[in-house]
Amino acid sequence: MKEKDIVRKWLDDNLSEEEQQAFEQSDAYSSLQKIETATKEFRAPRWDSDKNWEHIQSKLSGLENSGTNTKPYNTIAWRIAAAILLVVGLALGLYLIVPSIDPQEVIAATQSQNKTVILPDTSEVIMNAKSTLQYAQNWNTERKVILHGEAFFKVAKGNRFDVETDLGRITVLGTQFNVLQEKDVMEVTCFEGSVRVVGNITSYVLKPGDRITIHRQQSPVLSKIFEIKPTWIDNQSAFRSVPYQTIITAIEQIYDIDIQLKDIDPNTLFTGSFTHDDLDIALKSVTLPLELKYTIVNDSVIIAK
Amino acid sequence: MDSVCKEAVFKKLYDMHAKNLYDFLYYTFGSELDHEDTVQEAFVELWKNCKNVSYAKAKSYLFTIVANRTRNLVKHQKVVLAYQQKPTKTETHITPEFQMEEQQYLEKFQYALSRLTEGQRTAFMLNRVEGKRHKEIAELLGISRKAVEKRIYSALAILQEILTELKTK
Repeated sequence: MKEKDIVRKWLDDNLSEEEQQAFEQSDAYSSLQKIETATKEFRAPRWDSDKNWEHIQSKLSGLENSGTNTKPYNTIAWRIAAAILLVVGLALGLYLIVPSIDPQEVIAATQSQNKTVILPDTSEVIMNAKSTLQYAQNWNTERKVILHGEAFFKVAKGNRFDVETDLGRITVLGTQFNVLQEKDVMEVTCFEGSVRVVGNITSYVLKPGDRITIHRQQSPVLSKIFEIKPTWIDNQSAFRSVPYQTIITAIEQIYDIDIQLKDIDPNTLFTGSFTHDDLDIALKSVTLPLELKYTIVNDSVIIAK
Repeated sequence: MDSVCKEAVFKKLYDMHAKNLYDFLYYTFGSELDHEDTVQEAFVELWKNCKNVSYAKAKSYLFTIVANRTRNLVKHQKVVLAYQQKPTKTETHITPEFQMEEQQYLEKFQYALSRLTEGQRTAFMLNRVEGKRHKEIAELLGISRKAVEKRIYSALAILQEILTELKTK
């Protein structure tokens, strides 16, 4: 048999035992094994049949409510649901008519300091430096916060929880995740549970270890992380394959200084971390790997080749 | 004939096809889209039209819906599959050089996978990763067994070619 035919048969598990043994001794086989191993690394994420079925059910019930489907899924249940909806609707109507006294509460983290906030539903938010978190006083209707900057969320189990930023919305149930939003970039990292990120064009579901980076003008980038919680909580920032400018901006923010790059491509990709405790060490850890030099003059730093 | 409007029949169709639909979308269109949502929407559509879709046609109906919906979403985007990255710290017996080589190999592999046609990549991944027989894939994609065999074999040949090419560079 020709090698080509053997490979074809092997691809459908059709080799006889002798053929298989002979094939395993060949050179072709060892190179195929390497491809086999690598291929397995690209396996699709596990399909959660129960969870998706539930989602379909809830989408279908949404349809029933809006009246587009004439055939009720379960008549009695839907009558009850409709009655509840009516009551909730009335209550909400009243709530909206009565002018709200203090709709928003603003909490600002101080410069280069973290702050832990406990929300009315016992969800915990650790806010990074120079970040603000806004949420309504009234948590009976919805769990929603508006974030500028960066924060790590430990959401208490319950109804839907929304985080809104300028670049999109993040929706979760009970879970742990981190959101960083700065000017034109938003980065969401899921540490536990699952997180839905709704951008301008499409939405994404993150699982633990998933990170999505959304730029205002480019298509989103998905990546993997291994930390069990964001590194900034332990007073250091770690980055994986980000443009050099991103890490420089982060140092500027943490240390409240101005950094100038001289003849350095700000788009060079950089992987590494820096401490929040010591500017000298932080600058060393981002310049030495690229063989760059830095000088500190008053409150500004110049990085050059 | 079983009516798709019966809840039990609808659930059976879900159990039979949902995972295959998801895998099909993932390997065809890459890891950067929310395919779960697309699959859910397809079943919602099927339920809405359950009177007009026969049990026998349900499978191809679902596959057509998810493919069209995703194609409208992506348009000319390069298809990338994500790979499982291993934690770097735990495997201390492995040298950083080895880890780097492995990483680079996976990156090359990722590139090579993105160079396959949609059909080749899907058939190849369903076969090699999901362990489906050629006959099953043929039924799933609605093409002949011969065509499946050809896609998988040419996918393998192209991967080998690209990987060797990248090695010599």
